Amino acid sequence: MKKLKNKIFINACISGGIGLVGCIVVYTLFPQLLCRVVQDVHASNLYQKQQMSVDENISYTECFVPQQYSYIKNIILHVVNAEQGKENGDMEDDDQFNLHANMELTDDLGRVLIKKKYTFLGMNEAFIEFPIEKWVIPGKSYKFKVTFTSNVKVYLTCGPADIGPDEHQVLEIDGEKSEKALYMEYVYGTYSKKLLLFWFCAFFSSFSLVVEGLQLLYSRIKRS
Amino acid sequence: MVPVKRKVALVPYVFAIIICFCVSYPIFTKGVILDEAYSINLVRGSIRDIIGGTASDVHPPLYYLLLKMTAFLGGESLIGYGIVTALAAWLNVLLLGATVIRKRWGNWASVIYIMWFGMTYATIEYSVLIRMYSWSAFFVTASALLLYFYYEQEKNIYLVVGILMTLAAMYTHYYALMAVFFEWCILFLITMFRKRYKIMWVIAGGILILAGYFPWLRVLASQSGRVSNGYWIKKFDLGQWLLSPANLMMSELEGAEIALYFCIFVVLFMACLKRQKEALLSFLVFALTMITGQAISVLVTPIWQDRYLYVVWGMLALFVALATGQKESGYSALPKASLVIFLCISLMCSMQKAMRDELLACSDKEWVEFLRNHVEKDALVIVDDPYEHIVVFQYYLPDAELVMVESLMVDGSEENQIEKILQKAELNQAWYVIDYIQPRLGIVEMEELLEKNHYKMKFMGEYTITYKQLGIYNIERILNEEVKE
Repeated sequence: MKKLKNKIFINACISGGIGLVGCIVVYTLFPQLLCRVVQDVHASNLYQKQQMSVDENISYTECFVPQQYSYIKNIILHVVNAEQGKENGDMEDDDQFNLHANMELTDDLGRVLIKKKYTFLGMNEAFIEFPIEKWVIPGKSYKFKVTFTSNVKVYLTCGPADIGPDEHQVLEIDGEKSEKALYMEYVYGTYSKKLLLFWFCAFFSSFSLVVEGLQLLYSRIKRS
Repeated sequence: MVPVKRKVALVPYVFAIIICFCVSYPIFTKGVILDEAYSINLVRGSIRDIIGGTASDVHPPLYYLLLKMTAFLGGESLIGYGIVTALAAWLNVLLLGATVIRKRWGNWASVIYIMWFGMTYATIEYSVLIRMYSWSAFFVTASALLLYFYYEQEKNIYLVVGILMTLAAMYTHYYALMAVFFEWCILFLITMFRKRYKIMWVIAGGILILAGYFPWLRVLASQSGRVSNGYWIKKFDLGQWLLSPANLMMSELEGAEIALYFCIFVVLFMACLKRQKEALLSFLVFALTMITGQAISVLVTPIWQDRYLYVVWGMLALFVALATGQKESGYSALPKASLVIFLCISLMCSMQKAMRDELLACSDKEWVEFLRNHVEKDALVIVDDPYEHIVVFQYYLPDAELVMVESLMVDGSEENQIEKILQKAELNQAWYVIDYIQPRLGIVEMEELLEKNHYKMKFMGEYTITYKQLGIYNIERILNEEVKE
């Protein structure tokens, strides 16, 4: 009985140790896995929405200032298929749009934080999500630049400059300031200690299974 | 004095009752979404309408018939429908988890099954969503257990009930059909190699199932043809295929689902190393169903939605329970207890999300109250929302004449259309409802249109229902004196 207790204690120590190492790895290398999404997403209103046709290789740059939270999870734009059936929403297979976009996020000093290519699929309309997953400084200015590289018949939803959330400063279309504002959603996050504990539990449970499982296998092989 | 053994046997029931409570509370707090409104509207028809309606849609009819029976016994009630839907989850944890699995594989396996099945956000969501997922999950797991017991104990009663559960699963959801198909294939193969003397019974069972499903085969064929010619589901994103099950485990904490998913892979790895056949067969049913759905989506037509995978969620729970909890697994109490604690934390996170989630915590009581007090049954209601959302308003206003603004805008002749409609409704009340989240026309445009036809709108209130922020306006004729002024 004492032997069994010792064994369980040693296994618990090993699993706990691996769990701690796992948590450190997640904390340093995968911070997006420790982020709790903040519920109050900052979004434009759609009371006076307009549609702006998307031109190939024209850049749309939204200058914005993050508010309150220091982790941006996603930035979302709204697009509408120009081909959509107005009457009942029945779509032909060909009416799906396949939108290719280049996104670049720069800070106030012009340093590039993210530069990536994305492909979005949609039918009637879609909220296209650009995963940002970056720590930012609230109150400082950032530039979110999107260039659509495919010539597809979609509209970008926009409106008068005051439809934007508090983050909105100015919209530049191909480098020129525009009176309009894009429909934008800013999804924020905060670092979660609860999630770190959650990860520790996951590592502890998993590795206690591995440690005991391997011990059982070893003793079985030894016996045979 | 109650013996200790009997006391311990109560533990799974305690966990099961906690899960039942957790999954049931949204019945009293939730409103209705588009898919649920579709279910309820369909059930308002006769049995023939229901069968015809499901045949022209893409699902089998059993769940709707169950709702029809509920409506027949207790009238149309959102709470009644919610209870009937949640009943499947109660049966899943109390009957399958706390009774059947406990008796065969012990208390730990039972508790882990109950906790894994119940702690995921998907279970809390789909147990009360007025759709067929909850019952499909129950039928698939029940038929798998019955077929396993038939193979193990060779009692024909298990085969008979297994056939019934299989047919029920097939008549509930097409992903459930895929899952039970794989269950029978596995049973056929292992009987063929291990218990060949029983193979004729298995074949006879298969023939009986085919005969039982024969009436629906033609409908299935025509539905498949229709779906392959074009369906609303988006193209399958290959980059997401492996992460699909993780989406069902969402909690308020981003990344928590990845942690749970990580656990599944560790358990799978250990089950493979230890050759835990029963557990691996459970996982095989889950994996084959998932891969088949995804393969059809890539090769034929998109039919993949993460939520469809919920019908085999019980199989995944069974896999984790058998791999870690059964007596033969040889694990000490340490990994089992830590897994149960981990699942308890997951349950708390799922509950936190459920309490805040609009889907489960947004009541429509005020909206219903307003409609009851102000809107006449046969009123004309112009709805500014996407066309397909008409079913939501049909649910709230079954006898009203609903006009979606998109149908006014077909050829750009809104003015002529609205004039005709308002003339037609001259004797009845007329209303304009706008969903501020996704309007199709807008208040300003609507006001202009009405003004041209000598009508005006009067704001009556704003109401929030699930996924909708509604503004309601009464449409009135502009009196001659007002025009002169």
